[in-house]
Amino acid sequence: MKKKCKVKNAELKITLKVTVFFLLLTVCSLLSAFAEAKVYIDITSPAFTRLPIAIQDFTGPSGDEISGIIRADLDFTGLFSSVDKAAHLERPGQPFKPGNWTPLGVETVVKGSTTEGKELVVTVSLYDVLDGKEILRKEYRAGKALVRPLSHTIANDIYHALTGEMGVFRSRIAFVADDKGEKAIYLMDWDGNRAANTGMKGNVVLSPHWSKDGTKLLYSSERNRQWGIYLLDFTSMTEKRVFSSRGTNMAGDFLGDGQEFLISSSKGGTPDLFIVNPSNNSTVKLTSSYGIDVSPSVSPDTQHIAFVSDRGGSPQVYTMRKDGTDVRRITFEGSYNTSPAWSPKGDRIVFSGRRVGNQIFVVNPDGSGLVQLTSQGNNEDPSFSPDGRYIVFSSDREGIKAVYIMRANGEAQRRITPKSMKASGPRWSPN
Amino acid sequence: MRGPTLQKATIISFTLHLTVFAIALIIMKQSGNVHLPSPYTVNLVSPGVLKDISRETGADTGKVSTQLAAAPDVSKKAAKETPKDKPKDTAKEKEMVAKRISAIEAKKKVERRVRLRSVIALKAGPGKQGSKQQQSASHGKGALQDDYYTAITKEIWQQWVYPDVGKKDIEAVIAIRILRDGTAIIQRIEKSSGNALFDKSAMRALAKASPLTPPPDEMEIGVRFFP
Repeated sequence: MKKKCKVKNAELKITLKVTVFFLLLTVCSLLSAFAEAKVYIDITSPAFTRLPIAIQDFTGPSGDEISGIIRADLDFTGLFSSVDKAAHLERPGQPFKPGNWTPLGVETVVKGSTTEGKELVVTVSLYDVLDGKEILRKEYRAGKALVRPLSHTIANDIYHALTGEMGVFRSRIAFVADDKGEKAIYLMDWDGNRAANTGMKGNVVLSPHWSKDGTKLLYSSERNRQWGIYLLDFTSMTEKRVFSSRGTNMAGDFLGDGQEFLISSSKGGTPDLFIVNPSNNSTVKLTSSYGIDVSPSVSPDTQHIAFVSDRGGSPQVYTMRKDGTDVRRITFEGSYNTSPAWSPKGDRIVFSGRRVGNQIFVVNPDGSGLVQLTSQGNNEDPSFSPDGRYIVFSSDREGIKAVYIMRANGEAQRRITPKSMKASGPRWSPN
Repeated sequence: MRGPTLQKATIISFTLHLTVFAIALIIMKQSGNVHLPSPYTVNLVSPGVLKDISRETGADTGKVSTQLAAAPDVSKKAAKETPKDKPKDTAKEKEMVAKRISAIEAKKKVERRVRLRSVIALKAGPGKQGSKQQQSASHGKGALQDDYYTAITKEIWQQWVYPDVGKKDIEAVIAIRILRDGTAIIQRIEKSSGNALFDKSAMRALAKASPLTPPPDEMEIGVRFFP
């Protein structure tokens, strides 16, 4: 009898337990239902990454030219899709009406007019189609000879208003080209226009390097059988020899915004890297390997140096601290990797590597994330634009070596120097 | 001490359950804001429908273009080299390319049809929606809600234009109220991305997407945008 009673008790306990469990479960599920009442939905990566824009021909003298330059500038960025002129319902002279643009899917409209007096006056308006409002109106004045830089300034302003980033349409590219049997330093706009010879010549002139403020160029030149490092100051248009020694001396980047710069010099036998301080003519040796150490490139934070060394048997890209310690190899594919240059953010290094011909690659500073960007002809001397979105390089893909630009992902590659001009060693200005 | 205890316990348990459920139902019906219990947040980073769409429109073209972009010269070069080096292979390759193109086209057609059908089903009048509700009753109400969120996610996404510039690790959260007729009203920015242009592009996507597919009932949701 006692035993039976115990069994019944146990049964009752189990039933009770089950009941309590179910009760708790119900309450819990109800509570959670109330607690998470608000639903969130996630929208990742926009469906369209190009802003639909219409740039109308500007009215007045040089109007077509100006609007054409702005259109070309914005097109190259790959961030805008400009709607064909033929589709515009509104004539350039007519006032802005949002209803004329919504059917075309246009979100931004640029209108402008010019008047010519002593100087050229350009009035530009930027309209937001969805809000039906003017978001930018600005007047520009410049001499008639400066239509191109003026147009690039307008393009910069439009670019900034629509993306929040600074445009690079006023930046310039320095390069080396032939000048009556010798080599000389040239300057041109980022789109290849207005190329001009600086008149700084030598039997051989190598890739120039910009100072951080964009007012000076540092380059190596062989004159009278001696390799010297020269500094060209644009503010005074003067050139000065800042270093010379026996052997081959090749200029590298400036170290920060001061006077110090890097060179590779073979004054002690094989080429090694040095920091040169021109104010007191002192040099600090950074490397001392048996092989060659060349092409020093300083990171944007000036803490690291990327360079080329054949200490491992073949020329490869290495990084080290600016005091010469912590040397790491970052390229492992291919038997010949040269001319490294940092991106402005310091997150990528672009270089030229030999595969089928010499090709442009980008890699992370730790050696990961290698991407090949070119595949035609020989491509050399790459460097980034000041915003890091584009790369300038030299290529012989069309026969004669010329200067090319592309987006930093390899898109939209195009030659910017004339086909007949033998050009090499391009460097994008820092501003 | 015999039978009745167990039976009693069962009955008590049963009635208790019933009452609790009844109370729960009453509370739910009376509360205005909460219509259906949704014991989970919907995370539609790569929902089925969206995947299809993005495969068709965004992601696919994106992929192709980046491939082309990454190696525009590769393709050119390949095109140039093949006739010289391997004339036999070109015919084969062409055939393969043609086959692949036709396969892709067929797939797209099917996907388009499926998409159209789903859109028609969603956009159809209340009668049809009712039948759909009945159909998916077996799936439970959560599944129906899921379908709805997937649909509006797609609708908003398709209206979103933002150029590929600036920081990638930002997020904007915007609260919207969706009325019975699908009209989306922006309530407030719950979290700004810190980038005014990014916030604006998100607001614009919402404005352009309105009216959305009419919801089962008026609701307030949060929309999170990631570049």
